[in-house]
Amino acid sequence: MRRILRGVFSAGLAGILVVSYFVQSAYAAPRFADYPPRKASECAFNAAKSGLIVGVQPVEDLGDQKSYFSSDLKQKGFIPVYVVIENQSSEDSFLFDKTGVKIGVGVVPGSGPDVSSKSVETLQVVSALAISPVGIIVGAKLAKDEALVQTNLLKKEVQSKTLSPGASTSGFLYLPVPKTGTRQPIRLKIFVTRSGDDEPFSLDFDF
Amino acid sequence: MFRSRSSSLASILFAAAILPGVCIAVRSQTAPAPGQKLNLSAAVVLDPQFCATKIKKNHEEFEVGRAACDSLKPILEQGFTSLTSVAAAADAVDAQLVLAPRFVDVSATKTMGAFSTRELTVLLEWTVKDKSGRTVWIETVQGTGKNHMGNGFTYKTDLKEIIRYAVQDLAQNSDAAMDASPELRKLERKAAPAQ
Repeated sequence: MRRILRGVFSAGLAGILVVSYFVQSAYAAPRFADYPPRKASECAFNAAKSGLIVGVQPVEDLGDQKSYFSSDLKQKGFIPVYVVIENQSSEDSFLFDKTGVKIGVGVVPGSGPDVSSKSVETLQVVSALAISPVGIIVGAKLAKDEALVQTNLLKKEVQSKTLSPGASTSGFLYLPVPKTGTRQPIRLKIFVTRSGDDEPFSLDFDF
Repeated sequence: MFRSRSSSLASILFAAAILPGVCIAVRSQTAPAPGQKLNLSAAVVLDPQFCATKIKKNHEEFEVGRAACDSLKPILEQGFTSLTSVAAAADAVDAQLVLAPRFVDVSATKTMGAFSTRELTVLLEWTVKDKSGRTVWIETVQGTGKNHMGNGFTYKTDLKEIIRYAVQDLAQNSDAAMDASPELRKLERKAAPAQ
């Protein structure tokens, strides 16, 4: 009798271990590859002003989005854009305020950064809280993995920063795009203020 | 034979005992001195709206404002010669620096089991202005906290604790970032002759 009980107990324990192994595998956390850091000069788009170099690299490939974000962001209505800002000045510091980033959708590339032009009328403030997919990506039904996806998006997002001489910062901006069809050209305006100045200046990118 | 073995063993033990001490001594000689307090008077703006900040995320509410208003001043005042908290930037009349915090976002992982550890990430943006009202420093600081997910009985307590851990980490990282800021050190040097 004791032998039978021991056998049943062992079989039960083995069963639990096997089940827990498969359950863990099924709920294994998604893996997020780190986006390889790159210099501004290595990005698809770059511009320089007053000792500051900004590089912009849209990540539109679905495979890349899956490996870095574990999500199809285009389907959610966003395009991740890698931004790197390098302060190559030996004396000046620059203030990058993310809330000052602006985008214009449907702007014809090369139409110029003139603030009075028609294209700029369509510019809207890219507000981290208002349009970031970090808060939007998950609908009413929340999966455990989706919370991890959110956290990963937040950690990879570029944030406001003071760039001391020789310093750099990088990360992603998540820009809104239509969920279906081909996206319209985007104009991205990155505003930076030299420390001690009152007015910011912008570096513009069309892609 | 035995004696030579035991003497080599003794020398190894002796070296093992001495080496860490030597390494620590060398490290302490080459490592930079710990950051000194910023010789500036500062005021941190903890307005009622900031202190009441609750961020809702995925059917959970994170009362980060209250925790921040409890933790920020006591930790930040370690980094300045004087630090006061004010309810509005306009109240900081005598301060050489005005420190204004703003919550950027929070994100929390979820776990299946009550005793599994989850992680909360809180992002806070600092805007520091000088006496003339000009922004001299902007920085986004991250704080993380880890705690159990909790069950039906412990969820609220565990949530409060994870917020407290994350916000304390945030406050310590803020203090470290201000301490290491060349821009604030520059301002300190500028202000020194006037004092």
